[in-house]
Amino acid sequence: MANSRDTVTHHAVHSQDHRHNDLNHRKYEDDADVCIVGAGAAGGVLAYELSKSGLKVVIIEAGPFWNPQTDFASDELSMTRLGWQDTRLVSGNDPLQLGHNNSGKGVGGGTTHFTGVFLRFHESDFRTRSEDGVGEDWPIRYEDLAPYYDKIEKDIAVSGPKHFPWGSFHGPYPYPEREPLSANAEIFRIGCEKLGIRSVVAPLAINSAPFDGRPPCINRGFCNQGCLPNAKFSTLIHHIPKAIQHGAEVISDSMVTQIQTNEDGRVTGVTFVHEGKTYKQKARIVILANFVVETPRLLLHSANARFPDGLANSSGWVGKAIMPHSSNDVYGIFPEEIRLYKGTPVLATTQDFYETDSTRGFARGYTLHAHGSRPVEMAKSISKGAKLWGSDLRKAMLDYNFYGRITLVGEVLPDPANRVTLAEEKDEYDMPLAHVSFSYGENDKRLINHAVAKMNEIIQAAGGIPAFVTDDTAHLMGGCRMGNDPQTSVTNGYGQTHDIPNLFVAGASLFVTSGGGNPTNTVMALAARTADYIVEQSKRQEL
Amino acid sequence: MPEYEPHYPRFDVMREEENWDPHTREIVTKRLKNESFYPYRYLTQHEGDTLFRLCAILLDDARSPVLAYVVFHFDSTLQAGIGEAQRKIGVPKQSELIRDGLALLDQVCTERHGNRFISMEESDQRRFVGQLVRGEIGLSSGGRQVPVREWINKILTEAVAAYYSHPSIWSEIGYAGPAYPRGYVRSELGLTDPWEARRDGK
Repeated sequence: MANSRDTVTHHAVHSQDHRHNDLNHRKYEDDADVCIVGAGAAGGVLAYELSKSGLKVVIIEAGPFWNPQTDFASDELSMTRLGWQDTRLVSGNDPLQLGHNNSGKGVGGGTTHFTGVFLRFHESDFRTRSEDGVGEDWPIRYEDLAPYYDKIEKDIAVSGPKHFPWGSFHGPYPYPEREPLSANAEIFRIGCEKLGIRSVVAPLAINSAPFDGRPPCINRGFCNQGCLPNAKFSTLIHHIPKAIQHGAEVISDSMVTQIQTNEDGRVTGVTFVHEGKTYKQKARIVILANFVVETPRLLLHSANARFPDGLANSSGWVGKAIMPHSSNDVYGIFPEEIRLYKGTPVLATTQDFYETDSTRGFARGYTLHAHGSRPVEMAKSISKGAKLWGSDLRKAMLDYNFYGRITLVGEVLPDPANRVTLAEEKDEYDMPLAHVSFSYGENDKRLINHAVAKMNEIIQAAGGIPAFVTDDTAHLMGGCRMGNDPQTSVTNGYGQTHDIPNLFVAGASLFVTSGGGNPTNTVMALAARTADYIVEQSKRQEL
Repeated sequence: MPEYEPHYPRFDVMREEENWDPHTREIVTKRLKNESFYPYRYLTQHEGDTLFRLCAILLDDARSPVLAYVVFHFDSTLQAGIGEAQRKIGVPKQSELIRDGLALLDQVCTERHGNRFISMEESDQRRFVGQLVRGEIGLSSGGRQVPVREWINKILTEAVAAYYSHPSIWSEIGYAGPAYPRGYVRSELGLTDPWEARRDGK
């Protein structure tokens, strides 16, 4: 271990009262009930709920077990490491930006660096085929998830407005809405009000008052770089420590490379690599919570004689229909200083454009957020593709403090051609790299054009001049979608794979459609529902 | 190079370093220790010098302490061999892309201008970089080539990331920088905390 302050706290095994640097002291090497791959939003919830129920849980995480106080910093460049930086090959008409943009590596996964926006999907999100003739219906309805949304929001004390005007849940949230706002959120709300667009203070997984030994937010503004005061929720500081208290074991810095199956076609555990050495973890149940790219990659790479096309892939749908959100930004310049660095990045939101409106010429809809930005993010986004460079870029950035910004979170319709496959090139574990292909469809493009026009209007109504529109995507969903038909989906409505009853998928990979809002609340609610199902099935000895 | 007039000529973000957490302070102050940038661990001296000039043009700023950090960022990123997050199919690995592109830059400049890039007149360098950005010139010679758009975009993106991470640039644009443990108290429109950049220069 080098300088202890500048490097990650490096233990490999974390269980109650014990932390070890090696893998010779494992708690459940041969007798785990559940092995969860990935300690992010979904894996964290599952680890907590399943260990609380008395099951022996092992969570294997590819990245480190961060210590926020010594590993996080108020700095954009150094904190890109919170994202999954391992190379993926990208293609298509709109190749995706991955890494810090939409993934996490390390305990907490993406929750260590998400903005904390905590929205529910709407009823219509689960029935896009029936209601709008696009996408596909989910095998579950909003009512199936509603109690789990309630539970998750209460468990982590989501802050939000007394009245939330859209969807089926109208508040109040467990904790009061955040205040004060940032200048960027204020001008967004002023612009919306002038245009008759309703807006609210965003529901956030960020403390507005002390909760569970954690302080309220201090408006430092570095949500995407890891929260130093622990005011923002992450599974790193909430679910995982509680899971450990309930007996779970976390194995960090360990990359799962293979899922093992037996002659009966059931999974028996996983193989993982820690510091160049290969180990095995046996388990009665394996849950893949390793996100939209790595879950299909691992399933495909685990192909064997019995499952030649990869595990859980008799439908051929493993890796198919991945969806980002369209997330174009509009920067507007204002006569007064906005200072995009101050305060929680997203503090104000509208969902007035969320539901399908047949007069707009496209199906489905979107959310708009007032969205702060630090200098590196802004400069990188306005210079992308060398659209701005040299003196134009430098001049624009000298006015950094005078820019406001609005960001789109737009629904992207599922298309099986947008998919994760295995590439020829191999990584350090001798695993084929993931190849991620993505192109927007016509509906997606029309939605983006509508949203960009709307963002321009809001900026103008607030007294600003639209200056830069940047193409971007956020989040990633799908790739192992749930469904009732085993021929066109990978899992049932609980995330249990159709082909292998003791193999589950959790997290954003299960999404059938993308919705038009930030996905983390839905990811965690789905995980909590899967946990209940596994506990019930285990009690009845059906797993 | 045009004259620039920053809004906050007297603001210095480093005046507040005592108020930052130790980890952040260590990371940021390292960017000011130019002597620690050398010798390069991955780049050759000539590659470093070429990147210095190229980035000076792409960022329109030739101030040596800042540009030296930008080049150091390339050197340490390439040396660390961390992943690229994403790479377009068919594009060479980052390390090969940058290195081969720099070599081809010199070859093409020699063919067209009789000099390697860093030995060209500054005005010629600027014109040449403009042509590369606009895709008017390819980087191919002697049967070898690199995808010029990917190459220039990669260099611009990394240069921008490092440049806007340098505290001198934070000061220049009036970015108040690290904010832990104190956070912001006055975040609303028109309000500033006492340590933030103010146009009246106080």
